[in-house]
Order: sequence, then C-alpha cells, then structure tokens
Amino acid sequence: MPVFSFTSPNLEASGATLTVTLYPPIPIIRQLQNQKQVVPSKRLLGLIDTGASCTGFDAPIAEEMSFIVRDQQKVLTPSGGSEQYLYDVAVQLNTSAIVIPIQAFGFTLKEQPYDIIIGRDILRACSLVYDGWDNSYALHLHQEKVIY
Amino acid sequence: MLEKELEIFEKEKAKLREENPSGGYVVIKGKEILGIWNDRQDALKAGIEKYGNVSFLVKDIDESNNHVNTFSRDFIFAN
Repeated sequence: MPVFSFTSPNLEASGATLTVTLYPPIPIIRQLQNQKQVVPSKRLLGLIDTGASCTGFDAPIAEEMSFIVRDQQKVLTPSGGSEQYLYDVAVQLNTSAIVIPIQAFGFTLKEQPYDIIIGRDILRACSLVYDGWDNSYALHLHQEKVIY
Repeated sequence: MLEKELEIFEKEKAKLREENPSGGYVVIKGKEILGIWNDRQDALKAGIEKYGNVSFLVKDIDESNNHVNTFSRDFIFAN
C-alpha cells in the first residue's frame, strides 16, 4: 500500500498537495502501447480537496492533451447548479504504480498554484491524515480499493 | 458538444433501463446507439474501436448512479 508522507513549512498556506500525473483514458493508453507509441502524460501539482466530490483540472490542459468530452453531468457549487461536460482520463498519484481511471471536469485554475483538484472520487481509495499542528499530511493509497 | 447524443439518451433512457435492469454504460454517437457495457472502460474501448478517438457519449443508464457532483467553491467551467 503506497504511503505518501509530506511536511510543509506552512500547511495552512499551501494546503495538502501532491504530484499527479495525468494520462489519456486507459483504452487510449493501451492502444498507444500496443502500437508502441509514446503515451502522452503531464505532471501536475494537485490539491487534495475533500470539499470536491469530483476531480477537475485546469481547462487548457484538455486541449493540450487532446482530451475529448464524453459525458455531461449535473454540478452544484455555492452559486448554483449547472450541467457540465466531463473528460475520461487516468491519473497516477505521486510515485504509485497504479493508474486510476476517472471522469474529470475542466475549469479555470490559472490563478491558483496547483493545476488539478483531487476530489473524493480519488480519495475514496485513500486514507488521508492531515495534521495541521505538525504541518504534515499523509495519503495512503489502498490499491485493492481502486476499481476499474 | 454531444447535443444530439444527449437528446437520444433522454429519449431512449427509459427503454434502455427496462432492457438492462442491472444497469450499464451506453455508447451513443450521433443517432446511433452502439450498445451497453457493464464497465465504463469497456464501453469507452468499444466506442474508440468503432469510431476512433473522437467525440461520442458514454453514459451511465442508471440514474441512481448519476450522483450530483458538488464543489464547496465556485469554478469557471471550461465548456
């Protein structure tokens, strides 16, 4: 079970972040691998956000990585509800060997220091310990709980 | 994006649920319903093999699984 432990000089300011590698959806990864082609990926700084039920990334990344919209679902934010499009992608947390398929939204994060919000769709396979007093946090990825 | 596909889904979803009581993921491109798969990744794979890496809809036919996505802050969504 991969365990990623971090300390931050000022966890209150930075939030709980970790490196996330973003990939195309798994069928595309396998297709490219079968064709012996390079699988595109992008390393991002992710913010663990327990207030987000779903993961989302900075919108320009979708075009950069040629992601394609394949679903639309309802979203509720403090200002109300709307129907928004989703991309099928895959993510790898830090140095984990597991690539997790998810659906993710694209939204503007350009003024933020991170590129991807890690939502509870990913966290459902994790245990998170956040110690503000100690400026430390740890994320345990339960690989057996990754369902795909 | 996906307007036609979403329209077809809304029109056919009752029938899809009746014919597939255990649920599944439907693939729709244009007016064509390609089929239903138990696993979303299998549905995606089937759509990509049939149409290529282009736009098509992959939708969970079971409304109870279509939870509402919530964020505790506002975002400007891309599309």
